Amino acid sequence: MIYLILFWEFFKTGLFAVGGGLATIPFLADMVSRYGWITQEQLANIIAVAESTPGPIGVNAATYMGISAASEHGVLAGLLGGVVATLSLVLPSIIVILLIAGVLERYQKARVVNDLFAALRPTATGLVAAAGFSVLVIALKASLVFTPFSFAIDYRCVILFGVLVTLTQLKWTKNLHPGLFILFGGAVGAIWAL
Amino acid sequence: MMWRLYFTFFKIGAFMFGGYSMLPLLQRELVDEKKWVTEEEILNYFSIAQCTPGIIAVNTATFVGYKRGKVWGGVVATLGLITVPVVLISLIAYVLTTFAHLPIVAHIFAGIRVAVSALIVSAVIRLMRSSVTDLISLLLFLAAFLLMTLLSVSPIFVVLGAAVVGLAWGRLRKR
Repeated sequence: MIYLILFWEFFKTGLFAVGGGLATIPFLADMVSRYGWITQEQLANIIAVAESTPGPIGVNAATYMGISAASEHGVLAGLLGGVVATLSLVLPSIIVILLIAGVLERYQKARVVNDLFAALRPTATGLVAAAGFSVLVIALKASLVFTPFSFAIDYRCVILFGVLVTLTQLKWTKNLHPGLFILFGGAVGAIWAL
Repeated sequence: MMWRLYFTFFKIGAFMFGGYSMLPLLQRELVDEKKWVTEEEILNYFSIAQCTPGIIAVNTATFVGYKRGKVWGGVVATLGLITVPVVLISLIAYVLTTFAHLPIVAHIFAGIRVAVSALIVSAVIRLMRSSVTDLISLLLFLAAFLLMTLLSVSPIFVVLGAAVVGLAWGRLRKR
């Protein structure tokens, strides 16, 4: 039954894809080649869409693949497939994290734990900075075609970026909901045809 | 209480575009408004979430949910986070091919990408204020950034390396 297959495949993915939403992609590609629920091109599209729609990439991609896999039995079946795939994906991490959180609670006052986290915090910040940097590089390009020797920077994107970053630091606007910044970005993108 | 937890993460899930953009939302909802966790705790969870299986955003939600309401809290927070994405993608899946080719959609997303970058930058600035406080933390920050950006080292190894450094440094300081 399709739902059992979806549960199995996505549970495995959730268990072994370590280190961020993009880590799920190799597993998804493997599923595509083995089951053919969607085409390779559709996978590339859903990854692009999953990056742009709310929610973690892995969740978005799992929902979409689950729907595609079960859709041949009807719309409701498709929706159920999406739900099953997504829940199966997050189940392993819920279990693991709850275990870790329980242990952490007991040892949170320990010197060793505090030393550990004191080192992990700036490191995690550095990793986020790195991720932000790579998103930024993509965001500022004029086109998505990248040649080894040059890439055209869209200066309008740079201006928009500069304006938005400034707004996040100014006293009057820094506490606005992040969603507003995204709406603003999308609107400017549409108007300016970025 | 669980409803508040669910709804808070529902809102976060509704507005996050990509795993790392969750941070500004977490900072705003959890640290500033509700004071459920401190900035430090969020970073702690995020660090662990980088090297455990699963999606960072989901793992972080589970951690915070656990802190608020134990096992049930962890589950509720996670479900709250994924609600909007699942519903939205379900809707989008059926109209995906129709809309994806429209030029206006590409323009909107180009603008959204810039906005997401700006949000991440502001989140990083804020995180640096609380986590990069001395030379060693600055070195760790730079090391993590450069290892990922220039050498594409897996985050798991970066975090494990930092853990070793942290423990060793703790030992050295004791002497």
